[in-house]
Amino acid sequence: MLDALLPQLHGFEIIEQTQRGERQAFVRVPPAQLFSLLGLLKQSHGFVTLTTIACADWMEDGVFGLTYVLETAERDRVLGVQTHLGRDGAALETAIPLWPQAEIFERELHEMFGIPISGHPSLGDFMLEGWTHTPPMRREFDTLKFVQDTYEMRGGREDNQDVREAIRRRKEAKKAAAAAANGDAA
Amino acid sequence: MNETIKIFHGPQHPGVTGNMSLELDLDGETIVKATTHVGYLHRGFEKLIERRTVIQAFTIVCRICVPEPDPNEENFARGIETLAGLEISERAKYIRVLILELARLQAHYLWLAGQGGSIGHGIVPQWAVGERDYILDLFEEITGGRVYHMYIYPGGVKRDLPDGLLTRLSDLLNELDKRLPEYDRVFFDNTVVKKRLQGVGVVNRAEAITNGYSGPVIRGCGIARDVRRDMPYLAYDQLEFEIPIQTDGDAYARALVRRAEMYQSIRILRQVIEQMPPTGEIQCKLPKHRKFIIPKGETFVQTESARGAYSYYMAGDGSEFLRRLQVRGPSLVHAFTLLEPLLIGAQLSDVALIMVSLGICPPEIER
Repeated sequence: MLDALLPQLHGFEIIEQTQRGERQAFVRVPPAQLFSLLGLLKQSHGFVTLTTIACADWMEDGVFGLTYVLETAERDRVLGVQTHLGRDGAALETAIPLWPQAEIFERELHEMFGIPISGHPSLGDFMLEGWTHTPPMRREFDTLKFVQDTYEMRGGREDNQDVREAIRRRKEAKKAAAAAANGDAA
Repeated sequence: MNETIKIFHGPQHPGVTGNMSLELDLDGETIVKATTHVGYLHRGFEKLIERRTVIQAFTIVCRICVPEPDPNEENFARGIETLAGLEISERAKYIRVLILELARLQAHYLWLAGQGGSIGHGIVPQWAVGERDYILDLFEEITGGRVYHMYIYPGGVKRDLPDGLLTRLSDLLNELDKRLPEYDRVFFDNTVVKKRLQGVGVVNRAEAITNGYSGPVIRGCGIARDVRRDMPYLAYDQLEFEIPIQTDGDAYARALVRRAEMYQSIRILRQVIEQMPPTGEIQCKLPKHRKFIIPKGETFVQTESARGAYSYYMAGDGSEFLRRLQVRGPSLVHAFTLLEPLLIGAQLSDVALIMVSLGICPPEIER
């Protein structure tokens, strides 16, 4: 698939490319070329459907890996157009002029990863309500700490004990009993 | 312009599985503006999976969608298999098709119950839920669970089919097939049902592909798009079936598409019974659960669910956890990009029936 497609993408810097089977491929371009490539693929290469925008947080590299998954009308080819966006608040241009469903995908990106979307008309609460904490899908968001800081643990029943502590106590009791038995024998 | 009033429709809706609110501006009974609100069911599954091994994540993914969990299991399993380079046996492929088509059939019965409920039809919902329970009995026999199965696992399936299962399945299919014409008589050919569904919730064919609509929604406006045919997976390329379409694009067209798909699922299941290899391994050799490393790489997998194309984007980073699993069910686009403009001009009493006819499943929107 890429063998046929790549020679037609004149002027685009393809940083990385992966072919998965005959019908699926991924190409990565710089952020500045993303929207011109998406527009070209839609207008001239038959990738008319935007199925999703996926984001993976590569915190160790300081980037978000964005993947725009495109399909042809016959759904005989799937292309993931990717770019790396800085995690430090770099803005993303909206894809709504190309696909109206990008509106909802981008609202989710904004809420879950904190990515600013320039040109988006309705960024606001999506799944979360009044969220002021770190966007929860970022890697630095600590789910356990958030729960411990936000919610109180219920006391539970009397037998609601720490299993590891109970095992430790039982082992100690066994040891003490064995030591006592040895002492008696001696 | 008349003065409008604002109401919140939902989060509970007749016939819709899950919670989602619609903010409606009404001029009398006519909707002039509709806004979808979600946030009642966000369970953070995608985040949880980033800290779960394969076997731990496997028990989570089925819970993403209540009425039809199995496409989630299939997507997850196939994604891991693609990343880890696992090959599954022919028998496992056929067993998975069996599970997925049974899931489609029971989901369509559940839709039938919901669609009937949304227009005040009393009989068909009871019949449909009853028929669905016979299918759930088989699921319980095969997997141990009625609704959540946790059965389709990377490398194959969790256990082999019980003795005599295919005979019992065949008997059930005969029974279901025999009773389907009764549904035509009472529901699909019913004048009142036609009056409620025809001309309501008409989807614009011209924007259907570009906007990413799928399932009965896109096939109801004359476009034969189905992942099973477009990008065959498992054993679908060895099975004969048709992709039913209708051209009117309204709620009734989607109902007829689903009705025809029920017949096609029965047809596929009969072929599965005939063609499934009688013996063979059901699970390929896997690493030990705690040493199951997901290689670095990414993939995009799709399964055709009863509501449309169900997609997963998955990225591995060479550890035992997935770096990212993004779920994209058909309901996300159907509940926002499609539903909001579709409701403008509709009557308040038609809101629930339009939502059911689009197959909107709020749990898969929020994950």
